[in-house]
Amino acid sequence: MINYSIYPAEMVFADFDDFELKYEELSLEDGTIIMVERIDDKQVKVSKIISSDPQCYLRKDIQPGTILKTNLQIT
Amino acid sequence: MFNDSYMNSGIDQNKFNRKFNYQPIRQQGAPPQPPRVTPGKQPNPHPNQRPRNPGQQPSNPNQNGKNDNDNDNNNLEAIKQLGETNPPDNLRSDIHTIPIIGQIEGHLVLPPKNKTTKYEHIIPQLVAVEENPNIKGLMIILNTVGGDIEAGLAISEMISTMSKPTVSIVLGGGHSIGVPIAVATDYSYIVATASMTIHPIRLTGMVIGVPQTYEYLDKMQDRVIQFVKLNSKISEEDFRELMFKTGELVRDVGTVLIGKDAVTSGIIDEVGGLSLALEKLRLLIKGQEVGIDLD
Repeated sequence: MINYSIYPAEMVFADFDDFELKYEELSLEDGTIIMVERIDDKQVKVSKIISSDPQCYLRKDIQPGTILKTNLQIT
Repeated sequence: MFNDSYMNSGIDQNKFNRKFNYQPIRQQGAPPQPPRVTPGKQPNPHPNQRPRNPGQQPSNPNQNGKNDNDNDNNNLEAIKQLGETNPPDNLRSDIHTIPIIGQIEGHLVLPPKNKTTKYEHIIPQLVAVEENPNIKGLMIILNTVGGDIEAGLAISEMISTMSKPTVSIVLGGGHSIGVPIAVATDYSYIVATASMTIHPIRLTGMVIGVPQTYEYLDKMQDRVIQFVKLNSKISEEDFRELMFKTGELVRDVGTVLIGKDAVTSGIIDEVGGLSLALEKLRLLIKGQEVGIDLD
């Protein structure tokens, strides 16, 4: 990866080795799979949608950044 | 990044909200209540949003003087929680807008301090916009400091190969890899105060997982130059000249173009803001409907 930016790389990649990401995959009722970051026991934040249906990516309720309650089924 | 924020500057937030007319969305006549989630029911996809009835008009807090402060406070809470006001429901527009802000994030997840636009979010949305018959046009709002070259070029190529009319506005900054994204649309605008920095890929920049030879970086740079040349009015020679100009940037080679400079150099089509961009997009949509290329 080449970073082509006006910000110096030291600034962009500061703490690059120190942060950890924990993703989970959730399957919604209609079969759409979303990748989420867990906030706590009951809440997750949508990080990515995994679907081959382009219109899924325009769905308002699972836009990345949305916080969902999880009594959802964990795959 | 220069911080010029009104936060902590002693501005009364309630007054601020009233001034800009942030009104809470609530059912008419319903008492002010925090949103409740009943356990055991269907998970609410908008847990932080208030229940609402799209068929009814939101109540106007000014009609009822005694609730005014209360409403403001509740609304302020919503703003604090979400960082934004709730968009109105059931307003379907036939244009779609995609903001590209901060760093463009590609193959590597950047540390959380960076504000990023992730290409895995943008690219499928572009597919959906192209495919969805209800969407007629696309507006790209750019305020980016650059980022992953491959991700930026991927987004640029996707936008430039769309059949639907596209317009971009550069606000604040459209630097580095933001330049090809700005020119990828059918027509591009820059606001008078926005800037675009054109500079070479730095040899000292973060290069991960690729050969760090001069030839390789030169080839990568050529991809950017070729894309800009093909999608804007600037010639390859002029763009290279801007890219390798010395004396303008303190510790680097390159050029900063502000507002109309970007237009005179041929990179951006016109200086203008939101209304002009929307008007142009509507015109392009109309043109496409009757089969005329107004680009």
